[in-house]
Amino acid sequence: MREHPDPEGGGASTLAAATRLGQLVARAPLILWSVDTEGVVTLSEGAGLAALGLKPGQAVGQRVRDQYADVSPGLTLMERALAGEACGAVMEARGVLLDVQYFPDRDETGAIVGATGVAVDVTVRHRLQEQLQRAAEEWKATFDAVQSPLLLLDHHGLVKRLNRAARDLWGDHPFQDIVGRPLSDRAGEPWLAIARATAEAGRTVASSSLSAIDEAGRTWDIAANPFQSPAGEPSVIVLARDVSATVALQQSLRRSESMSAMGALLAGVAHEVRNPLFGISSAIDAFENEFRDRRELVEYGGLLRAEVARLSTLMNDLLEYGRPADAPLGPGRLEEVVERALHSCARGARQKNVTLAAELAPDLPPVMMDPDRLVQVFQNVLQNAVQHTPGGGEVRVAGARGAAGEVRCQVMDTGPGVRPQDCARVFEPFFTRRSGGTGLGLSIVQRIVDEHGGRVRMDNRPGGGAVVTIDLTAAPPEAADAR
Amino acid sequence: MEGVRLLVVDDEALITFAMSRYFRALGFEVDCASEQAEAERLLAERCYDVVIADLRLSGLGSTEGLHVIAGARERCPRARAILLTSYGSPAIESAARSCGAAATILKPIALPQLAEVVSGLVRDGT
Repeated sequence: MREHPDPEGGGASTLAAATRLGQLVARAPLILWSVDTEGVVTLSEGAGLAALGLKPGQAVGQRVRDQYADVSPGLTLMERALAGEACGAVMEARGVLLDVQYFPDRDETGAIVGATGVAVDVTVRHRLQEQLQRAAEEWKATFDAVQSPLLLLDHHGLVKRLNRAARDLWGDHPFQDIVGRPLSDRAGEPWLAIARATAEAGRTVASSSLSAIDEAGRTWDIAANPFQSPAGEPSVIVLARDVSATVALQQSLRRSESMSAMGALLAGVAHEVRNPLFGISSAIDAFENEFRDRRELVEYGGLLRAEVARLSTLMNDLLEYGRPADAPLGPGRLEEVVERALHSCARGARQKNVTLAAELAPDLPPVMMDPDRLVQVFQNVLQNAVQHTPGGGEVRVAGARGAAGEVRCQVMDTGPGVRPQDCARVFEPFFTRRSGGTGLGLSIVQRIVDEHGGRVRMDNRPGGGAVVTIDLTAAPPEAADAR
Repeated sequence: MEGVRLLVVDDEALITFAMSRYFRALGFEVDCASEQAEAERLLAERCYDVVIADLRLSGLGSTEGLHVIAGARERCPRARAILLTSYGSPAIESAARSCGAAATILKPIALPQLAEVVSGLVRDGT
């Protein structure tokens, strides 16, 4: 150790200073020690020794290599210091984490005469650092677990932090490439909306939110909140949520609400029309009964009756179209549904000389259904197919497992097919390809298949004729077992 | 069906007109009423073999037809009653049965078919 210059030049005051220094070291929460070139301890002081189970001065005269091998990481440092290198490391010794600094002791000629080490107990500090790091990692994992893009921006729109979802939205770049970049680097939605919301929140220091639709048709809800970082920098936190599914659900709810309002209207109209219609048909019955001997009058009756029948069919179809789904869906066998529908269409097919056939796979799972409504679906599709098939032709129903958890049914005819531009329109109410139909048959099909959570579409078959494809949800195994 | 007495109760003028013409041609003695009070007045005067009543005599939601049938059966237990309705439902059918209706028939029905039902009821009742 170097002696301090003595301003008073007196030996007494030097001694007093050395004593004070000794007391200070003895109380200081550190360990101070020296070794000679042989590694024998020449000084061992400091309150920090207690943590290692040592008393001040206890180690003096002992060889570090022999006595303190369990503090061996320090041995390497000691060798390096004795070789002339000042060095340091954080190491564990006897359960205590020490930040150790070692440096060589030299005499006036510069020759190494030993080494001195200083160690500070950093156990607590280190534990705090670890906790801090864990906390930081936890926060990072938490933000990354948020499935919606989350960004921390400064009020100029420069990205300060972002979570994984935000990075994925940005594009396939590493995090460090994005941090520090301005939002204006990104074109299109939802970035334009994010930039607007950020600017708005930064300017007004109030939350701002808006929504945007991106190129892929997704709807985004953007919420920007001003935020004063602990360092005092004004920032903005932006959360972008993909709400497409919610929006779609709302639209479907609105559709079904307007459908049920329309259904009630249709039901009311149909009922009210049925009464006078019944009066007219009764009057025709009475008229024909009374004047059956006068052929020229009976002809009127026949014509009127045909029109009344048409109106009655229309009213029945309207009622069916507007009828709300009331029965809950349950697992049922498609074979029975198809069987019933075929049975009810058999007469019409015979009259037109059209063959009806069914080929259902033997392993068809049960389908979630309201059986009576589903019979109506197949009845209408079959009737429609029969009506468009010339005599001698065939209408065939096929059923097999479809996509995962679905059953696919197809009704194929050998008719003229449908104009490609009409394929989607055939399910619209009052779109009809033949005279005499109400134009509601396939609309009712669409309506009921919708209620069953299924899909229906019409296409042309490569070999000619039309095919109606109906995809229905198979009953989950537990529901099927519960039958 | 000579001498069989039939009461038709319906607020639709064309229906009472057509039914009375039709059933008279078949030999029935037919009276008509267009509302509950009129039907009850007729029922108080005489006993009918068959009563055909529409469920609704005063617009949406009304059910006077059931009261007419119950009243007819009360005054004249041998009377057979048919409820006509355009609103078929199990609830309506069960209400009609408990009022003593022999049948509930959904409109529209062709009159020759209705006449068959009426004739059947008359035959069963004699």
